[in-house]
Amino acid sequence: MSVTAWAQDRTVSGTVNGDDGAPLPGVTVLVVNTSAGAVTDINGKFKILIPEGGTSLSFSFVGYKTQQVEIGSQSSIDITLETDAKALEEVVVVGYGTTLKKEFTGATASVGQAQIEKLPVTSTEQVLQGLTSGVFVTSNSGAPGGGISVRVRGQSSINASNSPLYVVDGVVMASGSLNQAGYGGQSGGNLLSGINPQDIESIEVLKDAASTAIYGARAANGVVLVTTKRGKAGKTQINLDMWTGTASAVANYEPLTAQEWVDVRNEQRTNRGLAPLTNAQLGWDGTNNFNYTDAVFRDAIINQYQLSAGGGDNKFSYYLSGSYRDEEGVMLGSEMQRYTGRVNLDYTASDRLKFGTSIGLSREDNNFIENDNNIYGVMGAALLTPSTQAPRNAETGELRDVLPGFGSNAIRIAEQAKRDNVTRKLIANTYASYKIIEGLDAKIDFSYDWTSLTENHYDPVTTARGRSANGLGLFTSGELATSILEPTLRFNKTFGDHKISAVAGATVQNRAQLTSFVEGQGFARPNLEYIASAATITDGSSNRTDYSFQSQFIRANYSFQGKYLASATFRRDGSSRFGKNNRYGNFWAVSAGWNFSEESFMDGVDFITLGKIRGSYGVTGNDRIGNFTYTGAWAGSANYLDRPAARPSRIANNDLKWEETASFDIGLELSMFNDRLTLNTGYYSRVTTDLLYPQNLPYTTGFTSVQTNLGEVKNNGVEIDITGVVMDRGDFRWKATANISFQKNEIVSLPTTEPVGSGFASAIVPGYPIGQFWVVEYLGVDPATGASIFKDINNDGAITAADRQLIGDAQPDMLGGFTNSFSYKGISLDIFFQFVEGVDVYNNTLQFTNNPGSGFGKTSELRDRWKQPGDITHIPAPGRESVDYSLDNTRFVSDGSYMRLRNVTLAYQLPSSLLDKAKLRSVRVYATGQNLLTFTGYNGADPEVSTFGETNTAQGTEFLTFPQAKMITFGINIGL
Amino acid sequence: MKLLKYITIVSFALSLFACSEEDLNEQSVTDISDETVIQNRENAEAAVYGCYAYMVGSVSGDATQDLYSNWVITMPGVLSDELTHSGSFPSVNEMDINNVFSNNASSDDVWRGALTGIYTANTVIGLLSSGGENLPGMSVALNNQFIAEARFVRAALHFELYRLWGAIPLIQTTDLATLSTIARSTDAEVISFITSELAEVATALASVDMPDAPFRASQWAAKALSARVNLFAGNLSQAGALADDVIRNGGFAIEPNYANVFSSTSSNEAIMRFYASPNASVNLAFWLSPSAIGGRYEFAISFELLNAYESGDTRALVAPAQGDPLGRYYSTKYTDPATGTDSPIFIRLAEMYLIRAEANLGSPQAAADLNVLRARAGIDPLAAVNSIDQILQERFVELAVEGHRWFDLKRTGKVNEVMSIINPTSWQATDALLPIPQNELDLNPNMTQNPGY
Repeated sequence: MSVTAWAQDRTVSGTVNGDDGAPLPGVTVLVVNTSAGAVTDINGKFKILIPEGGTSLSFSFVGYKTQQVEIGSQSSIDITLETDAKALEEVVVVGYGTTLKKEFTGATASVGQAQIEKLPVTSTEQVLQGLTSGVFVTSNSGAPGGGISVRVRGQSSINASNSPLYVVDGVVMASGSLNQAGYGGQSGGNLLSGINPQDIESIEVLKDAASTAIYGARAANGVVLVTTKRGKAGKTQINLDMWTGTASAVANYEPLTAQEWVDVRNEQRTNRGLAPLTNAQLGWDGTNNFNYTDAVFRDAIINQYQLSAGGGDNKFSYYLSGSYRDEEGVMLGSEMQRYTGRVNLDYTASDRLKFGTSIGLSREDNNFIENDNNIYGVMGAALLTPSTQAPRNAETGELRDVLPGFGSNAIRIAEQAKRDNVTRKLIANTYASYKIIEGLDAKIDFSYDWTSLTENHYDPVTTARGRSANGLGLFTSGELATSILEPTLRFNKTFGDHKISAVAGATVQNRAQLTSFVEGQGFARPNLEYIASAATITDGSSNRTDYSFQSQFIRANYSFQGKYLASATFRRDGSSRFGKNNRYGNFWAVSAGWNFSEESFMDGVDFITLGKIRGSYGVTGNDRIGNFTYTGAWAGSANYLDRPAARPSRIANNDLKWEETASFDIGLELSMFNDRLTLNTGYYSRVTTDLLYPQNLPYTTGFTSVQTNLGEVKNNGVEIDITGVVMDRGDFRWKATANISFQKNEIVSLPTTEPVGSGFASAIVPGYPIGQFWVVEYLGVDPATGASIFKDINNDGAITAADRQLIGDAQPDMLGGFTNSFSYKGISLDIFFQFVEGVDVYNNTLQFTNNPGSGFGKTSELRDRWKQPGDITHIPAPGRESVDYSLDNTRFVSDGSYMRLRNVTLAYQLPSSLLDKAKLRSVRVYATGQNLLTFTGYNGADPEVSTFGETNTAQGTEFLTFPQAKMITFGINIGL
Repeated sequence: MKLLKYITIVSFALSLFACSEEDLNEQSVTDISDETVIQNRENAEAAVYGCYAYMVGSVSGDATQDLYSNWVITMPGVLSDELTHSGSFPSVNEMDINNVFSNNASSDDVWRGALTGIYTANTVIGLLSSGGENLPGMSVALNNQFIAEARFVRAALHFELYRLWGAIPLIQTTDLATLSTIARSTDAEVISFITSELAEVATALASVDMPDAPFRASQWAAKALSARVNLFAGNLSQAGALADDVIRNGGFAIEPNYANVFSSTSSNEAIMRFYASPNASVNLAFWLSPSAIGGRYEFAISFELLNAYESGDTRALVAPAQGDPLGRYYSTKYTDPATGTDSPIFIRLAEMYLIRAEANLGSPQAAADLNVLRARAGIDPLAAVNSIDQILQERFVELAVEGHRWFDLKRTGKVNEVMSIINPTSWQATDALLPIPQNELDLNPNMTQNPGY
C-alpha cells in the first residue's frame, strides 16, 4: 500500500507531558511490534525513526499509565500521560511514614493536590469541607481568616478540645489560640491558616484507632496530616499563579423600612393598650429611610499571587514558594493580608545518609472588625439601628451618634474601631536519616513551631465603647514556641511471603507560652491609637505557661502474600497536664485486613481489582485541657493589710488523666472495573470515657468543684466514599466522586441528669447529643387574637423557663459532598456540592432584634406578622405576649441543614503547540465560583455559623455573625 | 565496622527511652502549688493574711463571698427587725420575709466563704504544726503566733456558721474524702470546740505584742469573742467573767464620740476590726447607702430600729434615704460606698459592757455598765436594770447594723414574738435557722437539713 511505502523511514517527534502539565523526561517511547525505541529528554521531547511496519507508539513511565497512540499520518505527536492511580500501587501518608494503600488496615480520608488547587479558600481546614467523609467542618464566621471548627467522627469531649491534632510535615502543631481579646467566631481554630493551601501536596485525615493510635494521648479527635510539596528530580519547574476575585455575602437579613418599623412599634403599643407614638416621638423625621445593612456590606476584592520553583537532580531537590493574598471581607472595615514563604530541601549525601528540611514562614495581618456575638459590632449596630435613623448629621455630613443611649453607628465602628491582629508563624523541621543496614534506617527529626500574635485594639472616642473612656486602647502580645525532638528507627523487610515494616521512636516536646497585655484610656487625639498616647494605663499583666510531653511509640505491620494483613501500635505518653499518679498513659491499637480479591476463589471475578475487608480496635486519648488543672493551687491575688495574701484556688487531683476513647472500626474497600469505580465504606463506634469534668463538691471541702474524670460520650456512624469514571470516551471524561456520612452523638452519662445550660439556648443532658437545645415549644399563633401559643408542660397555666423541653440539636445526622468533573481536551469543569443534614441552629439574631418592645431595628421576618383576626401566620402579633422574645423557644430553633454549591471551576489548558511557540511549559486559565448557591430552609441569613466560635457545648448558634462570602475569581497559572 | 553498626543501633534504641519523668513537672507561674504554699516566713504570713481576707470576704479573684464586708452584718439584719429590704435581690427578699429557700444565693455565699476561710486556716495550722518553726525566717514564737491566729479565724468562722445554721460539722482537716462526707456535730460539741479553741488561742497569744492591732487576732479578741460565744450559748457567768477580764485588763477604752468608733481606725474601743482600703474594699456602705451617694441601697433601716432610738441618742447614725418611696432611712455608720474604706468592727468594748451587764442583771453593776454607754450617747442614765428587755433595747441601738440583733432575739427566746409581728403570715418558729444550702445536701450523703425546710 502506498501508505506503508510513504511511511518508510520517516521520523515522528513530540513532547510528553505529565497530567500536571510538566514535561516528563525519561519516558520510554517504543514503536509497537518493532525494536525501535527512544527516551524523552529533559524537556520531555522525543524524536523517533519509524521502521517499516510501525503503526503505533507506546509511551511508558513509572507511575504513569502506559498509552498507545496510532501514528497514522502524524509527524508530530504531543501526549499527556496520566498518573497511574491504580489502587494497587497507591500510597497513603500515615503517622511516621507511608504505606501502600492496599496493605493499610486503618481508616483515612484524603484530599490531593488536584482538589486543593481548585479551591480559593483562605485556610487549609476549609479544604476538608465536603471532601472528606466523617469530617464536619464549619466556618464559624465569614470574616477573612475567620475561625473554623473541624470535628472528625463527631464530638467526644464536653470540656476538653474537640479539634483534631494537626501534623504538618511531621511537626505536631500547637493547639489553642493566643488571642487575649474576644472576636466571637471570627478567630480561633484555624491552626493551619499560615500555610498556603497551594503548597500542599496532600492532606490525610486519620480517623480510626489503627491510624491514630501512634499519636496516643492527643489522637482521640482524629489526626490531620499535611504534607507539603517537595522538589522532584528534573528540570526546574517554575509556576506562577495569579487570581483575582470579587466576593459578597451569601445571604443577609433585610431590615424593615422606616415606615414598616414605625408600624411594628405602634402595633406593639396598641396591642399592649398604649396609645401609638408620633413619628417624632419615635425619632423619625418621616422621610429618612436608610438601610444600614446595605451600607456596611460590600463587594469585596480578593487577590492572590503565588510563585513557586521546584526541581533538582538525584542528589539534591528543592521546592521554594512565596505567596501573597489580599482579601477584603464582605463587611466594611474587614481585611486580611497574608504572606507565606516555603523552603523544602532534601539532600542525599550517600547511599546511607540523607538529610533535609521543611521550613514554612507566614505573616498574617488581619484587620478584624468588632463583630460576632456583639451588639456593638458592625453587623449588630447595622441590624439594631432602625431605618428611621439617618447615619449622618444633616448639616455637617459627619457620621453621627444614632439611637441615643446605644450610640453605635455601624459605619463608624467599621471604619474607626481597630481590631488589628498580626500573626507570625514559623514551622520548621530538620531531619537526618541514616541507613544502618539494609532495611533498617535511623532518623532523627528536630522541629520548631513558633507563633506570635499581637493584637492592637482601639475604640476612639467616636464609638460607643470608647466614648465614656475618652478612647480605649488594648495591646496584647503572645508567643507560643514548641520544640520537638524525635528519634525513630524504621525497619522494612520482605522474607518470601512475609513482609514486615515497623517504626519505633520517642518524642520529647516542650512548649512555652508567654503572654502580656496593656490597657489604657483617655487618648489625646482620635487618630493616635497606641497606648503611648493614653492618659492613663488602666491594666496590664504578663504570664507564662509551660507544657511538656514525652512519649515512646512502636508500630509493626505484617503482610502475608499481600493477602492477610495485621498491624499493632503502642504508644506511651507522659504529659505535664496530668496528675502525679497518672503521668503516663498507654495507648494502643490492633487491626487486621484481608485482601480477598487476591484469593484464588476470586480468580474468575475479574471486575474486582481490589477487595479488602479491614477492622481495627484501639484506645486513644485527649490531653487538651488547661495546664496545671490537676495541681492543688493557691493564688497570690488576695490581700490583707494591703499586703500579699494567699488564697486556695484549686484542689489537687493527682489522679487526673486524659480522656480515653475506645474506637471500633470496620470497613470494606472495593476497586472495580479497572479502577473505574472505587467504593470505600465503613462503620465506626467511638466510646469516650473519663471525660475531663469539673465535679461539684460540697462546700465543706473548701472548694466548689474539682477537675476530675467522669462521664461517657458515644459517637457512631457510617461513612461511604464512591469514586467513579462515569464516561471515558475519546477526549471526553466524566468523573464523579461522592461521600456521605451518617453520624450520631450521645452523652451517655454524667454526674447529673438535669440539663446544664450553656450558650444562649443550649444544654448538656445525658441521653442527648452535645449541642442539644433546651427551649419552650412554640405552637404557633392564634388566628383570632394574634397571640402566641406555647406548650405548657407542667400545666401551671403560665409559660416559664420550667416549660423548657429538649428539642433540636446542633449535631448533624448526615453530611457529605459530591463532585462531578468533566474534561474535554484542554477544558475541564468541576462542580462540587457540599451538604449537611439534620442539624439545627438557634437564631438568637431574630430573637434579639425582632423583639417589638425594643427600639432596635427589625428584620423583614416581621412583615409576616399577625395583623388582623383570621390571619394565618407563624409570627405573633407584636406586644401581645411578653414571653415571645424573652423565653428561648422553638420559633428560633431553625433547621440549619443546607446544600451548597461550594465550588465550580472552569479551566482551560492551552495546547502545547501554542505553548512551544511561547516557550512555556504550561498555561492554564480558570474561573471559579465559590458558594454560589445555597439551598436551605434556615430562617436566618447563613446556616453555616457558630457565634461562640470553637465552642463544645453551644455550637450552632447565630448571633450577629459575619456571614460567609460567595466569590467569583479569574486566574491564570503559567508554568515555565 | 560491623561492630560500629551494632553500637549505633543499640545506642540509638536506648536514646529512644532516655526520657526523664522530672521533665514533666512543669510549674505554674501564677499559682502556688499546695506543697510550696508555705516555705518561709513571708509565705506563712501571706497564708495567715489569707485567713483574715476570707473573714472580710473581699478576696480578689474569688468574688461574691463577702462576709464582714457585707453579708455577715446585713444578712442577720434583714432576717431580723433591724433592716428591711429596699433593693432588688430575690435572695434578700426571701430573708426579709423569713421565707428562705435552700438555694438562696446570698446565704450560699456566706456558707461557702466561711468554709473556704476555714480551709485556709486548716492549711496554715496543718503546715505550720509540722515543723513550721524551722522554715527560713520563722521562730518557735512566730510559728505559735501564726497557728494561734489561724485557729482564731477557724473558731470565729465556725461561730458565724453555727449561729446562722445551728449545729454544723466541725472542720479540722483539709482531707477531701473526710470533708466530702462529714456529718453535723451537736450544739454542745460546737460550742465546746469554739470556746476551748479560743481559750487556747488566748493563752498562746497572751505574751504576743500583736503587730497591726486591731486588724489581727489578740488574746483580748479571743477572750471577747469567747464572751460572745458563751453569751449565745447561755453560759452567762462565763460570758460575764470574760467580759469583765477584757474591760479591766484589755487596755481598751470607750470612745467619747460614738461615730468615731467606726470612722477612725485608731479608736481604742475596737478590740478587733478588719482592714479596708481601696485595694481590699469593704462593700458595707455600698449595700446600705442610697444611689444618690453611690450605693445600691439593698437594705434600709427598719422603722422598728428607727423608733428604738430615744430622742437625742447620738448613736442614731441614720439619715432619710433620698428617693425611697416608703420614706425609709439608711445607715450612716459606713460612709464610703465608692472606694470601700470602711473598716468593719468585729468586736468592741461596748459589747463587753453589755455582756457584763446582762450577766449581772438586777445588780448595780448592770445599770452602771449600761449607763457608761448611755452617757456617751448623750441620754439619761437608767436607775436600775432588772429586765432582759432593757438589755435588748440597749443592745439594739448600741450595736445597730453590726450584725447582732438577730442573734440577740434568738438566744433570748424572743425571736418568735418579735418576728411573728414583722412577718405575720410567713414567719415560722423553724425560720430561726437558715436552711443548709442545697449543694451540701446533694453532694454530701451525711448532711441533714434543718427542720422546717
